[in-house]
Amino acid sequence: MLFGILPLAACLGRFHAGSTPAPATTESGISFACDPTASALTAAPVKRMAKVYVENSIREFVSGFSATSQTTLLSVIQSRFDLIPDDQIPSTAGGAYYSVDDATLAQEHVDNIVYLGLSLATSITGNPTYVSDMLNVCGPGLDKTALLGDACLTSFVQYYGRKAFRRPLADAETTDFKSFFTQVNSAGLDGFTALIARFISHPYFYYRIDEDGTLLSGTEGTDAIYQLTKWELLSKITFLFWQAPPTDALYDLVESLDITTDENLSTILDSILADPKAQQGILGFYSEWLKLEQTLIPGSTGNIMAIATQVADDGLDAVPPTQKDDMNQEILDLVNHYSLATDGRFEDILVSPYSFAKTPALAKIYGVDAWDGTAGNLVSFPVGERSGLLTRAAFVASNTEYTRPVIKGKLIRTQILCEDIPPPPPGVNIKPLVHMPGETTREATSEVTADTTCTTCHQPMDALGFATENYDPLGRIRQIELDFTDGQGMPSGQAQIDTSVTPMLTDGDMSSAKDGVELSQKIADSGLAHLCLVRNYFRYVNGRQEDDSADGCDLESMRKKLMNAGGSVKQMLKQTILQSSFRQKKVG
Amino acid sequence: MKYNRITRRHFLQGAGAAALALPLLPSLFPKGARADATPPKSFIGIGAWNGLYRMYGADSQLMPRTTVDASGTLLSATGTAVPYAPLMLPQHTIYSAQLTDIAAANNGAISDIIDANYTPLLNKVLMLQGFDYIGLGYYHHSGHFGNWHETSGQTEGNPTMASLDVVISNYLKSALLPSDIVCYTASYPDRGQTTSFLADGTPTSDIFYNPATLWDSYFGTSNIPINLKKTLVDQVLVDYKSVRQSARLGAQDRLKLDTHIALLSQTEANVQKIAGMCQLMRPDASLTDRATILKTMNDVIVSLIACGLCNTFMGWAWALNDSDPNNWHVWSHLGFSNDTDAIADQTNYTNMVEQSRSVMNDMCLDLAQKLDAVQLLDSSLIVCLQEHSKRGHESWNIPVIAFGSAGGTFKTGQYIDYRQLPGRDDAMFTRFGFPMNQLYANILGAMGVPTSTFEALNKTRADATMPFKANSGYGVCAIHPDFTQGAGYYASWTGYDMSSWLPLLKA
Repeated sequence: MLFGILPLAACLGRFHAGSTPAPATTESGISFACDPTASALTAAPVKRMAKVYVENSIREFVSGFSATSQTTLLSVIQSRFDLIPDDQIPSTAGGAYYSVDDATLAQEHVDNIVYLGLSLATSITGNPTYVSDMLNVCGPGLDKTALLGDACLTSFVQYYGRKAFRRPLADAETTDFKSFFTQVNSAGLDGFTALIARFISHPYFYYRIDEDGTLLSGTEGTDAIYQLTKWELLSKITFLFWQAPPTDALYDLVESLDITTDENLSTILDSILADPKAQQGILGFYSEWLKLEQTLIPGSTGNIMAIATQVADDGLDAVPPTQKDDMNQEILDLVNHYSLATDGRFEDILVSPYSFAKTPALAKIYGVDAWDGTAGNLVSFPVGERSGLLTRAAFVASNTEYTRPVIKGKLIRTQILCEDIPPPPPGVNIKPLVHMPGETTREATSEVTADTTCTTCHQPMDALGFATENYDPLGRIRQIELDFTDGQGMPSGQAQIDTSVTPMLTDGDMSSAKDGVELSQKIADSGLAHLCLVRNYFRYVNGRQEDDSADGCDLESMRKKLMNAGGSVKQMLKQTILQSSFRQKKVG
Repeated sequence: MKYNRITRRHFLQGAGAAALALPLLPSLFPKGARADATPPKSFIGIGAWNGLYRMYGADSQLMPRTTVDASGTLLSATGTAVPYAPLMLPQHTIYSAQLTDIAAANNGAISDIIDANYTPLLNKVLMLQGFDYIGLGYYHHSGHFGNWHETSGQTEGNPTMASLDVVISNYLKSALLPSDIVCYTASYPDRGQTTSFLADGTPTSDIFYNPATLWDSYFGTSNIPINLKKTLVDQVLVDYKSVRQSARLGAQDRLKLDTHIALLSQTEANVQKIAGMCQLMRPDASLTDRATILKTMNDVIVSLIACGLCNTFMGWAWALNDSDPNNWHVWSHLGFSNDTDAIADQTNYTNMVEQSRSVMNDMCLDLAQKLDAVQLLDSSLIVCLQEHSKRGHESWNIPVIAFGSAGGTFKTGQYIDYRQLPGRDDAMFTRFGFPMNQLYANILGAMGVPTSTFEALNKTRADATMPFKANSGYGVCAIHPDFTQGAGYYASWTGYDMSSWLPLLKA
């Protein structure tokens, strides 16, 4: 055992405790406390569309065009689309945790959603092919004069109105749009262009307002709770799973199907989850939860010559420029395999013995053949070398000639275990990491964080990173660490790796793990990462931090679907939708 | 995993169909848009992600290739004496020379990179040697223009501060002048390591890497009839106000819609403003050559300045002469040896030099020439700043090359060597000069930012030595504990006012 008993409570904010209670431990293991009398729906104010939602909504808007027309048209408006600010993951606690919930609204958002509509509209109406594509709703081969007929104009407004508003237009709304078209034309302007642009610029396009449901309780305008309409529910589901609006086929289906019933909702959920588009929403969630954007790019900084030496050891000329993407893709393929492609459990993700490396360069890091992408042809890791998520290249590789155990450990502690680690105290003198001849990165890290100001937080964080020090900066298995302290390209020495740690997964737990494989198993057995997944998925779905009291029953029902016998990741994803809170809205 | 993304690849593939093969400047330049009286000042910072190559001294390929003999005479590379004026200061003696004199003594070129192409502009150029990033020690990434709080994902313990462009922008905003910042670079990957930061240390977000996108941002709907735009925006305002009236919305809902409505009202006002000002031609959106992208970006920048739409810019670029933008870093470390002070690998070294040449020619000179062609260079200040000096991670002795005088504030046409020449040389650990904080303060002052305004933003750190006048200059007003090489050198600068004008710099 490396470390003594630590004052963990002084540093770690376990379970994002804050003012909320810690989860209960039951006879069936760790769980959330569900008190039905404390359950309460949290107000959900109207939200603007995330940029990716706008992107896919535009594509869906022109989905009736030929494939060639779609590609060309969307490329023409790409630069206008780029001007909408990218959504950011808020860094402040208490806010949204995922970029799709970025609620900021700046002049650039407002300007460019209008100009995006105008750009799309002028691009369409200026091209006879696009005009014909768009007026297919009235008949084949038409030009814009077709809209001068009432029947065609009505069909056009109703068809594209449903796409824009994600529900059928009310009769008054249809009349209003038709009048607008006529008025603009009467003013000597192009009503067709204005009509398209207005659809895209309309508040019902850019905001999810959800105001049409049945009043269940409360007072309108203050604290009313509504049952979502089937249209509101449908688009809420597709934006969650697809990051896109419903398709025409789904709209047509829901015209005659009440998906607010449990049975029908479950059926349509299976269909939506089985669609390949579900990867965008679910893997998008995993990507941000696991902070894949922060994956270090091997060889991108530090002693380039030393890195080149290590790369050459692997028989490569250089680290492929796509290595970061390839490493991240492997993580996404792993979670996709167990979350969507199969009905897998989360512990499978944590201890999977299979490589999902598709590129030869990444497979070579693991010493295995590249995976062909087929679920039936999984490639096993060499026995005992790796296990699950935390031992893959994306989680262990470094950007320099040395590993980064602090970064590795922090990621596990904060993202996989949902524990807060405060930033360094103000004014603390942060010492640079200096490698001395003959010492490992672990030893150098321990020395530089030995000060009592640092060690309280660093020890529980760094221990998790030390457990995977048997992977080198490229992600390869190793038993010794090369010494590049003379600043040259060739190693001047080596040191023996030590991966034994006391991971301290819970207060008072002083059991040890001999390496990352054993650590992964301990984390999987503990259920802590399961709870963290539930918390994070709850945040992703609801755009806010969970309240363990008011949301306890929802969290617990998700946990059961994830952890109980017969449960799976997919069951948890479905349960999120089936519970009543998802199907209701409280006014904010 | 991406479904239905409107990818940049799609954009590039399809761009050719969008009638984009339009001529660039001078046809791009707005007719009649040039300012007639005294134009507002413009600042363009350009951060060079350069590294180890010979940037100064007897073998210099960037700064004047000069030596100083025992008698104090400045000799050009050809051995010709150059008039070289000393100025004795309390700190040490500094030297200056006219760039035209240096060029004349060196076969018409200042150096390998600053070659004869620069000759017509030499009177509007400043070459300054010897600024020290006192707050950085051996750390340097992204620190060019004042961001000293973070390097490559790790903190050095410095407080967060805004880079110069943000300080200038905030000042312009307070003065009710156009205050947009345009950050630009050569490609999507280059966005990853910016030189423009907000006061809280986060990178500024609007970064352009396609000149057509930048053009679209300001001029993109100029081909749409103004009445149609106005009709649409008016209608959308009506739609938002109508939705806001729903009895089913709550207070927070209305607050959000009110914000949108207020911004939409500004959109409506801007429709009128932009439309009548400039009718420009959209640049080719499908450019792939990174240097061409930056030169085309210069076209749009000139137009934005000329149209009075933006006066603050920050640009940077990684490797311009390679398909992998990140290769500048590889070249830096493999081309030149720190320890032997010699070229270690000629190919990598040459790539590094060519990268530097491209930054200077395609980003700095090209922009200066285009601004000068429309009489806007004199009111501008282009500052091309190196990330560090010759040795890797050596954060002192930084060369600075500037174009324009910021409306006559700076005395251009000079080479000023601020370094303390005796005691050290250009070989190993090189000479020290003046704190970068003072150059920052002078740049801000030249752009009109009051001293009290930028000094109020300054921060320090408790564990650093601070011989200077408290809170003077701009930036972290302290010497970093790891800047051990310079701590002794600056120990005698007690009370030195880093907000004062640098010797010889002001006109």
